[in-house]
Amino acid sequence: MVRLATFVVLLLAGIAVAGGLADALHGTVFVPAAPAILTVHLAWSGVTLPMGVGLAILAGYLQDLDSGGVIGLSALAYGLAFVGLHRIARRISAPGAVGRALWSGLWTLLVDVWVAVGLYVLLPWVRLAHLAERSVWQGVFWHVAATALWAPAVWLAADRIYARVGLFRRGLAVEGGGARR
Amino acid sequence: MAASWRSAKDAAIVAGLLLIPVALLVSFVRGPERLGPFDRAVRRIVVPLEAGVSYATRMVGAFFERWILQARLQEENAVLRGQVRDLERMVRRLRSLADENEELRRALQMREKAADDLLVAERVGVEQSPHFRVIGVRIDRGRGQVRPDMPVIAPDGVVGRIDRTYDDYSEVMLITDPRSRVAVELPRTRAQGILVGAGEDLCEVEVPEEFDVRAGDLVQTSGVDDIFPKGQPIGAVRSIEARPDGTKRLMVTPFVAFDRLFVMWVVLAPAPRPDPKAERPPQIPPASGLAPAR
Repeated sequence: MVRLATFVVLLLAGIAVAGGLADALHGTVFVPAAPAILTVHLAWSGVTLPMGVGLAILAGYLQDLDSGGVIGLSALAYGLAFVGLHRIARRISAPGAVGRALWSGLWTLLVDVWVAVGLYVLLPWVRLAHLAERSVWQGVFWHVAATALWAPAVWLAADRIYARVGLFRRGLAVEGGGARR
Repeated sequence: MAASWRSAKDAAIVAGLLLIPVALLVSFVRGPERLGPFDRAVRRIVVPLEAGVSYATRMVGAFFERWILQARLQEENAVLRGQVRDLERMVRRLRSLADENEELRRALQMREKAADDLLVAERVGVEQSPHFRVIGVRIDRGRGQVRPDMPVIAPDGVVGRIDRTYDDYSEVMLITDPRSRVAVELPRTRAQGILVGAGEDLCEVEVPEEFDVRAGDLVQTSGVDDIFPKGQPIGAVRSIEARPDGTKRLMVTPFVAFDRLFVMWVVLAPAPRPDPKAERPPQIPPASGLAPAR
């Protein structure tokens, strides 16, 4: 439970830092998707699929709350994308900073596209969707770039913190540790 | 068999988990007017979480805001400091111009009131004592314009007289110079005497002891020396000292502040005295307005 709380706290901290930066700089700079990086990291840390999907949904849900968008849209995107990501992570390793940045960027792009498409579909029912959908398309490039840029550092910090609290390796159901070589 | 069972179990759990965001999504898409009990329950759970996330974001945002704001404020502060320096310089210049303007205005008013033939002169240099008191003044009028012993006056009172003239400038002997002599009177008591310079910013005059002189009494030129025009203010009595020879020695503080004197007038010729034999101008009868003539 404590380890799960650590993951949530990390998620919250990542969202708050990114959101705070965006607020302070009026959204004109690279603002990374911290939950996306943590979730990609989660996939390569060898967590079981149900646990990973649950945590990914939680990350997406917190992202929805922070962005003030359609509640459940990012959560669904994160959860669905994690299923594919989990399979990829079992076959391909993500070594080095470049690999991690690449995977985080791709993941963010996938989620952003999913959210944008979802908003487009929900447009007739959701009043705020039109504006949000526009802003998603406009900011997607910077979002992906910022996430890729920040990914190695966040990944490294997460490694250190998880190692310290023993998260995933001991506390949660582990399938054998990342990619199968 | 066990692996496939576990796989099926995982798939069921994942599907169940994925239903949660779908439920959230459906709940959100429905308007508040169409909320069911489940949707209301979802919203009830969501609202505090949303508030918590918003609060955390706001707090961190405020931290970054302060951090960035501080950097911006430092830049703005440097710019404002520069502007303050420029403005202070401008204020000093304006004050100087205001003082000069006031001096010129008073000099002009004096010129319009005085009947004497006056020549304006500007201070071009000063001679100072070891205590930085002005003990001599040079003006921008030379030999061709003024002559020695011509009186020099200012709006506040008598300055002194021309001492030496050169081609382009002249030296003025102040009334505080020990060589200076000015015939003066005290208008309140009609006491008369010779005002002698007593050094830095001070003069003295001796008057007979029967005159009731008080500190603060006005001292002005009497005109009997045929140098200074009559009635020009000189200063005020500061102290009185009775002497054994039956006189009083009065210490006089000049009205003119010699260190702040920039413009003065040289009296080229005193005003002509009124001719008692001259005809009086005819009296103009007062206007009667529209009243009927009597």
